[in-house]
Amino acid sequence: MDAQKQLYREEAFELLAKLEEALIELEQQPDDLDIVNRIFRAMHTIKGSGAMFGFDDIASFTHTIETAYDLIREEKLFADEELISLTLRSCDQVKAMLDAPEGEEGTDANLIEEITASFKRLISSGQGAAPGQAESCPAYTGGDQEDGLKAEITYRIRFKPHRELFQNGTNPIPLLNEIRALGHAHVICHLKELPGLKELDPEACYTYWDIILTTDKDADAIRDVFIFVEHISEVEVTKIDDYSEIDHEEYKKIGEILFDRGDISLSDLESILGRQKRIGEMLVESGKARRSEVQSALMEQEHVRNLRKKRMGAVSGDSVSSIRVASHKLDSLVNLVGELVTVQARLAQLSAQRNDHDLALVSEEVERLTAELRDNAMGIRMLPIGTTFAKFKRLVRDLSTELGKEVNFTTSGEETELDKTVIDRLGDPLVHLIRNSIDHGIESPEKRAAAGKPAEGTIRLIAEHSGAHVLISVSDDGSGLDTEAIRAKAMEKGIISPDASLSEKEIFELIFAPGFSTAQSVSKVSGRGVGMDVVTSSIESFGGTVEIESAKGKGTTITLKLPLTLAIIDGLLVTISDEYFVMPLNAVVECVELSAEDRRRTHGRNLARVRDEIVPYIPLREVFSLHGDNPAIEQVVVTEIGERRVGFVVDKVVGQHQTVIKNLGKFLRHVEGVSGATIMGDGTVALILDINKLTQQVESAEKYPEVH
Amino acid sequence: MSKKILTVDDSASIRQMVSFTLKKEGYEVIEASDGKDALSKIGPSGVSMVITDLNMPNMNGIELIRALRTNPSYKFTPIVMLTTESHQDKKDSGRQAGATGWIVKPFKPEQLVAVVKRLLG
Amino acid sequence: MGNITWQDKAGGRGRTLKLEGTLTIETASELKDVLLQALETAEPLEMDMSAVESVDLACVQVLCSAHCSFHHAGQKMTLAGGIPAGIHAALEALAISPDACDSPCTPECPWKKGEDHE
Repeated sequence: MDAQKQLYREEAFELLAKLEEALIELEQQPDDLDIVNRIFRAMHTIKGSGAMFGFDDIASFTHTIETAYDLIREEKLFADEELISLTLRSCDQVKAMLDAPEGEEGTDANLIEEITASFKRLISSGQGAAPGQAESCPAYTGGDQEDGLKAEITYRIRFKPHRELFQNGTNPIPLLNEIRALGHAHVICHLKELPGLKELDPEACYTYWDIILTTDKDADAIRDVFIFVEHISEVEVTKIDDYSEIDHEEYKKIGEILFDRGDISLSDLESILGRQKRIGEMLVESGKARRSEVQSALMEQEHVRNLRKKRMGAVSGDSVSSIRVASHKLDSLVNLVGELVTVQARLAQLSAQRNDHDLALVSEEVERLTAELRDNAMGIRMLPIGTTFAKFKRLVRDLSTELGKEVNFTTSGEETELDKTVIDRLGDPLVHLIRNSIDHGIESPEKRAAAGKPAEGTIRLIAEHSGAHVLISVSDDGSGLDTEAIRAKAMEKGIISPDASLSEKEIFELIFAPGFSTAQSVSKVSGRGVGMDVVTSSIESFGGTVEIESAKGKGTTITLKLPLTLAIIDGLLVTISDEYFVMPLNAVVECVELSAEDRRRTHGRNLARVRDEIVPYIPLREVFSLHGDNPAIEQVVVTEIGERRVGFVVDKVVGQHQTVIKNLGKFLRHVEGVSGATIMGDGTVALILDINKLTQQVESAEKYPEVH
Repeated sequence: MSKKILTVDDSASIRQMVSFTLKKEGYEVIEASDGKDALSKIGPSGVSMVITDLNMPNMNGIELIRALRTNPSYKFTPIVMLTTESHQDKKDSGRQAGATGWIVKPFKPEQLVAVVKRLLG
Repeated sequence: MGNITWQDKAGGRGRTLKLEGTLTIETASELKDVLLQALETAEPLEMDMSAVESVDLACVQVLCSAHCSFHHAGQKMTLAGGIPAGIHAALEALAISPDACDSPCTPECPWKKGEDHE
């Protein structure tokens, strides 16, 4: 497949994701024309570009759907559940078409036929029905607007009927409403010609209007509304703003507007402008203009200013320009940066050995730039997680419908950024978790009602930053985990021995054990037949952890703790017996010295006093069984893990080190307490410490002391 | 209470089309075959709108409009005339007689509905 | 159709001008005549529009003009009962509001929204 096609596919998948999200929104607010417009536009782009890039099957298939949404836009067709479901099914078909290898169908022709026929049926029902007020006026038949994206223009309309307006049976109310239906309108009424009761002809019209209308229709369409009254009224349509005016949000001054309209004369304006006051007030005070006229001009000013502000926002603010880059290019950029970091470390080491001032200067400069380059390169790979969230809305909808459960799905923290490689690997685990929440967590509406809960269950998907990690949690307000049932099942499957004594938390964690799947039946949507163990193994594979909390009858929360990035970290380089180790710098709080005297004082208990706080420490030399004697003064690197502080005893702290993380080979993968390795400037290898694991390891060893 | 519309045309097919379209929109529709028939069927009051052809036997559309405008009950009632593009003078005389609007034949149902809504709300 | 009647108040203390039904141009002349007579009596006028279903521009003009003339004559014109939805809808469609009205009677404008009328 050539590059252009590939680009189209990527764009189409993105549009489909947006489309699905919009469709779900539409289901909740079927009257929201903004959503309908979004759907229409997405469909339109998929169709239009599809034809250009040779996806003719997609173009012809989506054409019908587009037609349907055009009718909805015109309010001739209602977006009911059937239509939305049909569209969602169509999205699936479009995906299949996109995925199909070149020259192959990839889809079920009968299914396409069926969907198309359903749409056609809905469309013909819509075309027979009432048109919206604004559309298809008798004289206005000018051209179908194929693209539907015509730019909006703002008009000032003065509608000043003659006295005899009513004589032929004209009622201005529907006329004004018809104008309003053309777009976004502000109407101001002028009653200044209304005489006193005695002089009043009750069957004459004394009222006139100023209307500011922003619309994508042209001036003819506006005039057409007044076609029956043009001989008995003055209708002035003036264009006052169009989409070309994006450079300035300022609009005319009130005086200018009034002069434009002929409400005041130029000499009026000039004589007033000499004084320092708000022009509108002055004109009213001096009797040159009526309050209503000024009010109307103010309204025009505000209308156009708001419009321009919005447009400027659309141009400069909301749509940050961006380019699309294949992700493998980014990956190779990050790899190159990683190698550069390694080389830089070598340069730094070299310059330290040479004791050459000039070389040291260059080396420092390179170090600074490399760090900046690294941060930038990593930053490019950071993506907001929201794009992943969108697709879960669809999943929840489909699954809850299928399982007959009512689920309200909310998300937050969509803007949280994560490395693309993490996001890419996060999809499947999250699908599992959400699926599980709906399948096992949320009860049926009847059961919920019986338990005194609202029939509709809630599932929350939340992303948030927490230091160098991102926490993603899936929580439901369902039945919670049943510890007894889990225990029984785990025993039955031989995962635990019958006499094992386990804490509640440990029992919860059993559901992630390999071979433990509580799925009673394989449902259509969730039917992959894999258990929750996939979640832990894939999360742990990239350095994340999984935590579970649950309260019976109240619900379950599963939290994934993920590293921000997988490639390069800032590390603290330390040595023990001439071996290099790296600790993740973001966990390090401070370093303190530990003398033999200090050790003696605590009677062999591994506790250090750091600023009046007792911090337990872990002697790494012992943990890794390294040879050599403790130096007289050791270093304790104090780290913070969650709420608590833990110290790690090392021989020497070398300093900060940009660490390119390399995975450990097959044989070392299961070494506890080490999460990876990095290559030093001189080519030696340093192990990266997994301080989390190390702490747990020591904790459990304390809890269950081995009997010697 | 739905609004009552009187359609006047010597062509049964046009009457039927008008009647069918407007009934679907929720209006009540009564039919008359010419001006005389219309005056006999319209009653003292209660019709909210009249849609009339211009060329009809017995009493044509212009005469019907004039007659209605002299009746206090129908002095301000919207009256739509059905014209053909070529007869600008007819349209003018209809307007002078007091017609509120017009629809050019041939027309589509949605055009009819748009005009009715424009005048009746 | 519209209905315009004088109703005696409870206790025989004056009367109220009661407007009912759909007030359209067909009743505009009658409405004007009744109001003009009331203006000429130099008595305060109390009106009740609560039973009005809808109103068109012609009648709104008569009411506005009357309010203005009463104000000009220093004569009270008040509303008993609220303004029904049908009137509010028409005023909204016609964009008639005291906010953009030049009449000296604007401060006492009966069309002011969200206020209780005497």
